[in-house]
Amino acid sequence: MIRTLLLACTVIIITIPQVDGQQADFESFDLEVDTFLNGSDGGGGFREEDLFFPNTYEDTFGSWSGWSISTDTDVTTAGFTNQYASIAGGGADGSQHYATSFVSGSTRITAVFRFAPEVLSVSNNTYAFLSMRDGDSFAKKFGGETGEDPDFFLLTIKGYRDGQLQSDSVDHYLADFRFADNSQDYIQDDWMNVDLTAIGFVDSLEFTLTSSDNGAFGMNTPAYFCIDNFSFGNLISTEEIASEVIRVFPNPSSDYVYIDLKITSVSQVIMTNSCGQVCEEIDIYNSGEKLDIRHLNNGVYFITVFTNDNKVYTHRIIKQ
Amino acid sequence: MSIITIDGQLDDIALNDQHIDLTDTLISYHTDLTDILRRESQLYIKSYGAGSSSTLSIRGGTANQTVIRWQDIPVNNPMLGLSDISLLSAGLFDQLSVSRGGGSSAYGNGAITGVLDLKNHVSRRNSLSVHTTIGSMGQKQANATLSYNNKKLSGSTKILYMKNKNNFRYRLSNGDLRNNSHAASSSKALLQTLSYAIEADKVLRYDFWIQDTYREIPPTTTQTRSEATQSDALYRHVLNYKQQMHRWQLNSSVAYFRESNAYSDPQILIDNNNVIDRIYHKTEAIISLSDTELLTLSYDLNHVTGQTEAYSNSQSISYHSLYTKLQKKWRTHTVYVGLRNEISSLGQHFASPSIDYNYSVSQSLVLSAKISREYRFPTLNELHWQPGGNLDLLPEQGWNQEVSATYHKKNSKLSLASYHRVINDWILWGLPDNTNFWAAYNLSKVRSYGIELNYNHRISIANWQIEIDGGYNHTVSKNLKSSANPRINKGDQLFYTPIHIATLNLNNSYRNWQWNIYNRYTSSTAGVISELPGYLLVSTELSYRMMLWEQSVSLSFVIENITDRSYRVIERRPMPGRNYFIHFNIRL
Repeated sequence: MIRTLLLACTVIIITIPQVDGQQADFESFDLEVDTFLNGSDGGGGFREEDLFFPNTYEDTFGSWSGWSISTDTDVTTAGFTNQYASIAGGGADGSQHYATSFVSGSTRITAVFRFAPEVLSVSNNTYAFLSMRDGDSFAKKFGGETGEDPDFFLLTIKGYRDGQLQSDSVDHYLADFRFADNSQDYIQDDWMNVDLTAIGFVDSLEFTLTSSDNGAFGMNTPAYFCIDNFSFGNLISTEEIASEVIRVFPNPSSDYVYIDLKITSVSQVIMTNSCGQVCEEIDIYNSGEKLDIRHLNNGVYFITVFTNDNKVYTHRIIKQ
Repeated sequence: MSIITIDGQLDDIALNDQHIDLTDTLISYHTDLTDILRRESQLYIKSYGAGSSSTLSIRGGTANQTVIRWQDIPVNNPMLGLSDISLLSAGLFDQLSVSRGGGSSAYGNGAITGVLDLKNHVSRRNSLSVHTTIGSMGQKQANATLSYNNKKLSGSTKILYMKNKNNFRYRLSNGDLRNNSHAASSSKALLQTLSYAIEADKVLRYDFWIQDTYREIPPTTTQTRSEATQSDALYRHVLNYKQQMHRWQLNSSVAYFRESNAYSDPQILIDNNNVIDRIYHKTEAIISLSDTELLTLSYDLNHVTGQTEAYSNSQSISYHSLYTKLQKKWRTHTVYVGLRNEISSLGQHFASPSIDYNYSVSQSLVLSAKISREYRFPTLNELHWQPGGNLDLLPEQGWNQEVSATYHKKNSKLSLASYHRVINDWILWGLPDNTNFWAAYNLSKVRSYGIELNYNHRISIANWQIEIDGGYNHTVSKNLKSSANPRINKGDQLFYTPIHIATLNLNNSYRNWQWNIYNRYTSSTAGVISELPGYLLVSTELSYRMMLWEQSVSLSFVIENITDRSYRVIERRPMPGRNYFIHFNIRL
């Protein structure tokens, strides 16, 4: 009975077109301390609240980019082997879980809804922090040989709506040595809240990192940062947008659903549960075929479509 | 001192081959070949600092486009394709030869830009020589050579021990001074040569080289500290049989090398161990077809195995190569026509022809021209490193053309060489779109061309002798393709490839005294982070030789970088300022 009521509530929430105040704090992943998820399950990313955190994992070599979910607390080990940890030693506000991004070009957060980003907690990753503080065999100690170099490590956050880059963006310096007075130079060593309200309504966020330490082989500063407690609101359903790409019926369903892809430039279709774990990888050539969902537990699931031009569309379904 | 000759040896067909006698007391005090090549040639040495790794660039090529050989066996690291010349201690060898220009046909895989040959000779007399050096960077070196000879058996035993703090002071960009830290190195080595004359025309020879080198890896100029260390160990055995008959000579060698390299950095929890095994065999027949015709036929097998955690398991490649060369001489003209066919166990194969023409215009003037096809097979790392190894890589390949003229008269020698080379399928580690790791690709195409000018003149006035030795290299080596990652524009000069290198050495000797001054100018280079300014280095050396109790004794005092010039060869890697050595040598 309680289960039915919960499901009914979920359906009601979904059908409400506008919702205020959500926060992605990654605590639902329930990882043990000093562990991480880096996409090795082939899920293509992680779902948290109504947001999707894409990840690219290369199975042959075990390399990844995009997002990982971490509970790593190591703030002392330098180098690549400590790539998942936050320099704050855990999540924001003493929490356990947070997300770490390895930025290869750029990293995105996408959403089922059009949303208005509000506040994001940001910290340096331990690998990047120690590299900027002490230098390593590739990257420089910020300030350079003499401590006078005007170095910086900049996180830029931009919004996209309907695939269009929005004009407003937010810059946050994870390290800044450009001050005339060197005593003001800093490398951020704890979580800081970044106000994102200037970005406005978007359906995805793009994160890029730039540094003053660059070479022909790219940025020398390790391209990592961490986020937590991402609050956003004013959700407006974008399922209408998604419905132009994908149609899933019947919904809700207890045994089978039909997936109808309306575009051809699709690279991957996956089904994830509410924790972001991949339940099914769907053959994109079987558009229109029925998908057996009888083995799934009752609840909310997401069908996510990745297109060749790097767009992501998500449609939720309910198994009952 | 260096002697530049027109060498009659069969393999030394390039006119501008350079031979350096490493047993010379004024050469042998150097800890490794880096300083010697800087002083005696215009080759570019890419050095990470005193006591740290250094690699060689000839004619605008990369380090893995030059073959380094010991006793005619390649010693390039098959995982990287290059050889760290800082591990080659000068006191272990008798002769160093540098052959510039396309050598793939004569020397095989990787000899695109030239060959550096290290030789140990069989002693013809009984002797003992001992060298000791102390220097201002905490340098302590001792090496000794014991040579012995009888009717059947002859040999030499060389031992070397070197310890170096490398704690030199260097200047920062704001003029402040800083001490190089965590840079100590030590090396011990034994090199044994034994030659047994089975009969007058049959000789069996065994060479054994064992060496252990340990070094701390110093921090960069923008790094707080370093705890990284590197250990290199090698065991090299070569067995050679040589038989001389009426019209032909047989020369057969078999070699086994085992090399290990351990890199450890406790700060970043890195502990890498690499092991390399090499089995090499070469059989060569040199047949005199007539008084003016010589035919060389040879077969090489080079089997290499690399083990590292970055390979899914150990990886091996075998290379088989057949080589034939016909040398024909008539009057003042000599033509060499060579063809090598090399095949790898991965199925890649390459044919490398070459034709070399020498014309002795007069006794003083020799002209030469050469065309050859060059190649380099991908290294084990380029094929198998995870991530990024690429089994679909093609060999680097292209054509090389060169002309040279040598004028030699009495006490003067002038040589001028010019070359042009285009190498296709140039291998670079790149990061294409939509990937998150660097991988090896045939990304570029590189055109290299330049001139090499050398002049040597000796003057003798009674007991006073003066030698002027100068040289200039103009090297253009440009990318013909652009790339986003790494960021390379079409037309860019290769990284760490100076356009101008000039040397001017002045050697004075008067009775038992010798005073030398060495000048070397290196123009600015494009680094991967920023442009590195050009620099002029000046060194000087005062030596006194005498007979003491009928033994030859010499004492030298050396000042390197007299002007205390602050410079970098690689960004953020400090180079030593002014430093001093005292060298003592005795020959019994």
